[in-house]
Amino acid sequence: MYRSVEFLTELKGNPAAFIGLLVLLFYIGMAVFAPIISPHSPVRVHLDERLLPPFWLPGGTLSHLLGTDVLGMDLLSRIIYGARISLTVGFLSVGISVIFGGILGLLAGYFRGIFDEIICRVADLLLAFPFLIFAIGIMAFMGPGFVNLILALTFKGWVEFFRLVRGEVMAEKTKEYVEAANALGVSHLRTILGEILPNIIHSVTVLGTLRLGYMIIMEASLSFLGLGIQPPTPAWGSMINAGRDYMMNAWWIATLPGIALLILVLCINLFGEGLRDLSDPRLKRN
Amino acid sequence: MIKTPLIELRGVKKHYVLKKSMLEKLAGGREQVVKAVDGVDLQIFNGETLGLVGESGCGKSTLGRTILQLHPPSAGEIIFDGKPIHGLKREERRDFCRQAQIIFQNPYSSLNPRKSVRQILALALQARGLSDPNVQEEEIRLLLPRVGLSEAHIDRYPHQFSGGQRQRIGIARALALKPRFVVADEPVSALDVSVQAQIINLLEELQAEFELTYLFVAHDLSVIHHISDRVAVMYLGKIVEIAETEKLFNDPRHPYTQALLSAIPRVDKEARRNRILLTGTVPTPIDPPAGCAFHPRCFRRKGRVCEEQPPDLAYDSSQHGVACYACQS
Amino acid sequence: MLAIERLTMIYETKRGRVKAVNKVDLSLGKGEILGLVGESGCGKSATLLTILGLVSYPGKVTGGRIIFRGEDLLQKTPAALRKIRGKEIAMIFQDPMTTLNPVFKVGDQIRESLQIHGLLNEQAEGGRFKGRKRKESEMDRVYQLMREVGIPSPEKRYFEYPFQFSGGMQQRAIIAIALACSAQLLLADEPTTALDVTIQAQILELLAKINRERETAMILVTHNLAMAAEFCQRIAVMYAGEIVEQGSTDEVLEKPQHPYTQGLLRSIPRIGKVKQKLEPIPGTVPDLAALDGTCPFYPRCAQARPACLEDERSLEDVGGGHWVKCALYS
Repeated sequence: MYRSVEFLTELKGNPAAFIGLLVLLFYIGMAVFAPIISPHSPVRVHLDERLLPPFWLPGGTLSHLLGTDVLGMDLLSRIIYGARISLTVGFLSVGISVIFGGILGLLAGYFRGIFDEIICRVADLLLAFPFLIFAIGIMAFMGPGFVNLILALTFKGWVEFFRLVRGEVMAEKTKEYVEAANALGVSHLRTILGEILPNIIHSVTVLGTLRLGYMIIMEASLSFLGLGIQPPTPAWGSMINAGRDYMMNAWWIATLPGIALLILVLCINLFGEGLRDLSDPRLKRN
Repeated sequence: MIKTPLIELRGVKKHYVLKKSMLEKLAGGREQVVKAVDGVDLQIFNGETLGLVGESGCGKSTLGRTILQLHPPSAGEIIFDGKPIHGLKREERRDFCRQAQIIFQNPYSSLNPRKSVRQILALALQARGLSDPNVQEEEIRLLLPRVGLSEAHIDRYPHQFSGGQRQRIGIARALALKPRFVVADEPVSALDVSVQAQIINLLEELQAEFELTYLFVAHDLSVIHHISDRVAVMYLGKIVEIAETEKLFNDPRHPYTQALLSAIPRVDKEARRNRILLTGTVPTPIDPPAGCAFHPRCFRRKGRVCEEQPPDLAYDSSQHGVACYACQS
Repeated sequence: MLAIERLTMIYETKRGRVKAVNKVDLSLGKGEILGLVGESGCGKSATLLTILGLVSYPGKVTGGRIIFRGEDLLQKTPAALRKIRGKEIAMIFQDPMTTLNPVFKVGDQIRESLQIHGLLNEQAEGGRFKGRKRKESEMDRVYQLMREVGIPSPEKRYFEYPFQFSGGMQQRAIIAIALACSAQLLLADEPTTALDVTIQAQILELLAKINRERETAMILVTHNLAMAAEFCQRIAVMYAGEIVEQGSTDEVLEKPQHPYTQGLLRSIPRIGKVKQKLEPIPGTVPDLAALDGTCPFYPRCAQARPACLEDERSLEDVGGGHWVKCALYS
């Protein structure tokens, strides 16, 4: 508890990161309480209320604060529910990547040898593909859907974490405190989990935060291309795609989810960079 | 003191194979071998301090770690208290760890920065078989004053201590297992001059109190001279000379020892002697010179024999051992 | 040749002003070697950086004078300082690997030093040589320098990169760079700490030779009292930013007056003496940010007395050019 209080005070010293954290928490709250706070069902079609503009434009109504789309679905409700998809996909894909890549990285970095060599070659191979094209390929092959989307994102996402963790473990392993644990006869597993892991968890958190924003963008991109979450389930990417044809007469359909996405990713990155600065003792000193 | 060896090394070698990448292997690159420790015979007697001295890269730190099985030897035998210590089973290895500990050079990297003093010492106590937190706490509270720290330090983290205090924590960690043998790997070389003396004194007190046997690895000859009963000089993975401290410092026989001793700067005017300046630098242990490894820099080279056949460590009646053809005539 | 008077350099930090160099007085004659001895953080390296004008933010010189050959270096413009630096005052750092640029050939780095200070143009017979001819004459001069500092087969090693040099050879190359501009003052910051004992002896011998042959004055910063004892004619002992004792090497080491110097000498193990228990100085080096103007050694001093808590202490002459800053002598 003491540590998190200390952490928040330090974070306040970096306003951009602090705002980033607040906005991220706001989005998370929005996603969690979507059924309570959204004024309408996100998927209810009102054909008589199609293409209503946001309330501040002529023709807008207060019952649809951000207007409606081409099927008359309430945009505000869809954006709120869209946060659910974005954040769930983001956290899940980063989480699975961290666990998978982290475990492999811990083992490979600590024990090295042939196991390490094989995983490294696999990682090199995966890194040679551009992420988006790779994900498009997988999605096209497996078909759209939530589970497939997570799989496509983690299929390559773990590599970053693997490489980070492996490198950090190799660096920590040369330090004498690890040797001291060996000299005490502590088992390898306990050395890895009890001694090394606490020292690298920080960098993993930082990378995880930065990758979260990236994964959210990837989800939006795939949904935009029609390979991710399928309409009518509200996802920002597919909403932007749906509003593309109406840019001239109903710009809000594509623009507003785009802004929601932009703010979220920007704030996640600000927060992530703040975290990185905090965890870097060289920047901390003065 | 009855001289019974606590530890005996017989032909101990530690070679590292430099890993080649797959591509280099395909290109037919020869594997390179670093001969960090290259055939060491040594006895360490109960209750003594054996100083191990040499320049960087001579293998002195590796030798200390090899004895503790941190880097298991590539060849040779290590006998601890009459029993060989390789191929130990898990339980036996734990038992060995309890009796043989290490103190590290770097007081910064040798303590886990994320653990408090309590956690660091508890890990050591657990290795001794004490897992009850209350017993552990009691032990820690006894241990801290013994190494010159106070009980108030128990929940602090390493970064809240000075270098000398950290080194005391490292000593407490080794001591927590009630070992009989301690490898002290350059324990004072990272410390300030005025703090060095505190740690050296502490190590001496602890040795007297707990009947410890030390292998004291250092490059600082003044420190080695002060703390050791016997001194072994290492050069490129081999021991070139070994003798009782005063004998070695007053009557160095191996040309390398002579040069090394003459190179130490002295505070006392009368102690400054003619300096033997060696030419060249220490060759790498990757491809050490054939024969006596010192021959390219040696000023007493005897000819072909030095270049072809490495000399054996030969002892005289006073247990003064030298590995040099020029000294054995 | 060099006279430093009441030089003060501070670092502004969040925790307050840190007086890294506190009212330091030093002087150095032509061809003299002065040892600046102290523990880490005592301000000995900071003093050298201040002399060179290399203090950068958050450091700031707040007082004193550095008179080098009649001129106050602190009054000079950065451009004028840059000219002096390297040409008349050269510095050798502790870690040779970070001083040399890893991506350039060692020989070229030495040649560059010749070029920057315009020595070659004058020496190469009034700049008559151009192009390849000129480069050849420059390289000859570099070979000569490399030979002088004991780098074997310079014709081959000129074209090698720093990583191909051992630590001792790197330090020799750096000394060659310092010699390239025939500096009259050489500042050496722990030049042999990163090196092995036998190599250390080689480098010190080289520096002594340069001092003999070229009459180069030197300030050697070291934590190793024995090394200062062998190499320097005079020794200044620093503690917590202040010079506490200064005098000829024999005077300071055989008749140390300041309790800190006495403690230091009692705490180092000496070869050849009858072994006795070391007497460490209790406690640790103080936090420079927490100093309040009283004697910084007071908390660790066995001879502390009320007078030590007075704000002003001055260097007192105890005879024969031996100066001590301690309330015991004032």
